[in-house]
Amino acid sequence: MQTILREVPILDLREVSIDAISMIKLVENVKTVVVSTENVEAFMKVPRVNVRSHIIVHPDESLFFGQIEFNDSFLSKLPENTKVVILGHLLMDGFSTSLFNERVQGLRMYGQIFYADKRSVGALLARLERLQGQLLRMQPNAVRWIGEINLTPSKLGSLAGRPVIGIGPLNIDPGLTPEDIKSGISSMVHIGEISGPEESICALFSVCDRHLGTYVVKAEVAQRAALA
Amino acid sequence: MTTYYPLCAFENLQVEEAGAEIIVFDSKTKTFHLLNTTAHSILKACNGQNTITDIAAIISNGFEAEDFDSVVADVTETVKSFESKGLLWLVADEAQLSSIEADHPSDSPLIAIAVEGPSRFPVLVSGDKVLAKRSSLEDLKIGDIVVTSDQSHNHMAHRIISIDASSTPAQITTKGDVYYAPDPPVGIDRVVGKVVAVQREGEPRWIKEHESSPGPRQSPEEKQIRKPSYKGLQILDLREVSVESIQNIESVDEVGVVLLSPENAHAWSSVTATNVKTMYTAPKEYRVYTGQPEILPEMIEFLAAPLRLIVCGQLFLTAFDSQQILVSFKELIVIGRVYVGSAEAKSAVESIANIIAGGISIVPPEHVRWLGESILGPEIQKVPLVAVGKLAVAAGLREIPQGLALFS
Repeated sequence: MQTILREVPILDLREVSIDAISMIKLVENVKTVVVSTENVEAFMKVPRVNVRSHIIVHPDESLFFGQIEFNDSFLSKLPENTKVVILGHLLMDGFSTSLFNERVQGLRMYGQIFYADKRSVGALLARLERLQGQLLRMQPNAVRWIGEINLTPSKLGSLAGRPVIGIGPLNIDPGLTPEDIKSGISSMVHIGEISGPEESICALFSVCDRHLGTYVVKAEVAQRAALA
Repeated sequence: MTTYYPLCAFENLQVEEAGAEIIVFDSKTKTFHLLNTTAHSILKACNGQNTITDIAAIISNGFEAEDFDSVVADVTETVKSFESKGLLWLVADEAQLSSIEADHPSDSPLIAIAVEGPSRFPVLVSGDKVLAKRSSLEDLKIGDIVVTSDQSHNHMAHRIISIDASSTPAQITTKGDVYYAPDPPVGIDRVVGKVVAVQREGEPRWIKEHESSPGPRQSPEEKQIRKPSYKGLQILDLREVSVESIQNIESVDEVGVVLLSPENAHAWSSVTATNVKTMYTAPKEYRVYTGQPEILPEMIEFLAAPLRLIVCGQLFLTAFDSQQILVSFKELIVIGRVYVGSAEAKSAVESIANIIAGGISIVPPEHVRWLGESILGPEIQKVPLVAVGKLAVAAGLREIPQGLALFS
């Protein structure tokens, strides 16, 4: 009996035996495969189609998934001299560098790093062995928008002028004017696609200190939908 | 008359003592040889640095031989016998290249060529000698390291990235592992030989022939479905992967950078690679950042040692001054563009960088940054603005603002 694994964002095979891995016939459409040093050689023999990356986790490393607020509260829970691997986003308003140096021996990062405090990111960079993602400065205490965002008048109103970081596609409601956007968002860092009316997209870009991604003017969206 | 330095092919040999005699098993030819202690002493003295006379002197010291000339004659005969059985190579210095060609029109003694310069680091370092075997076009394949000679008879050992057999003479294109751009194509007549070993501090390190490695037995069906391939990746980091697993790769296509370790780099020649922008051999201690990292000088006080860094993407060092760059970095390889904040910082980056494929640009240290596809509208207020990628201009924008830097 052979196994086919497909259409999953993260395939964690760290605890899977070499025998079980040798039974995998195909891995397809997987964003990230996580393997251990014990079974990586077995996995290297598995046929793969559209696998974006694979990460080898060593026995002395601790792996964390998802969006992590990297602060003293998180660091205090780590044992001393931990080798940290993060698969997700890391958000840092600041931490005690002495606590970081005590708890984190090394760091491998697969995702975005957002930082507000330069000294903290300095300490982190000194131990950052691998980075697959962006390293971006944000304003302190920024509102986090992770995932697909519909920027509506109520969403904008809830900001109360606070800075924003956004990761994921952002759709601007046609009911918002460029003036609403400029007055509602003081500063933004965004990774992902922005879609909406052209003037609204331009207004959003004008408040972006950092942007990485693309944009789609809404007329084009409608046109594409019609073509589809 | 060519002076040769015999070199035992120990990489293929298993040696075991059997009483007064020595059994030598040649794993390449699957042949046993029985040597007496004198013959074994001669074989051990064949280290690629001793001449026949040197070996005769070593043997004379160990035995009470009355006539040194007869010892030289005996050693010469023994070495010839070993060579004919494939137990050793005859190595000649590069200065004797013309006399080798006269003495051995078709045979292939190894030619020892000194390495200078950084282009093969860390696989090869200055002071190493490569041992090259004269090879015909049929013996060469993509991935082999070959020694080529220019019109001034300067030698260069680089890796083959393409072979054009349809030209007359056939054209070979090579590239240094740490260089981004390939070398100009040369005719096959400029190829001195294929590198089969590296001599470092007197010790030969053999580059294995992958075809001779039998590998695990597989049925044809199994072989067809068990081999992985890689396509459309920004970076393929194989530094922690075994030689066997690299040899098992079916193909690599449309990959920005392939990273190998000094231990497994030789296995790359067995991989079918197309549209690979660059291949780099780096020890595991090198850090690898992909994306568009901005590194800050605040890290300096926390660094235990200067960084050895490989970046696949845009690298922003705009907050660094020149001194901070020199303190923070030891090696820098960037497959992309580097952005700095001053001309002095640019000079500092140039002094420590091994490769910068996309050039170095000076931009304001503090700036708004858009990467990818962006649009500039009349609302723009925050400048200076650095836009990397495609930048559209909205219809309502009447004037391009001052302080815009566009890199496309």
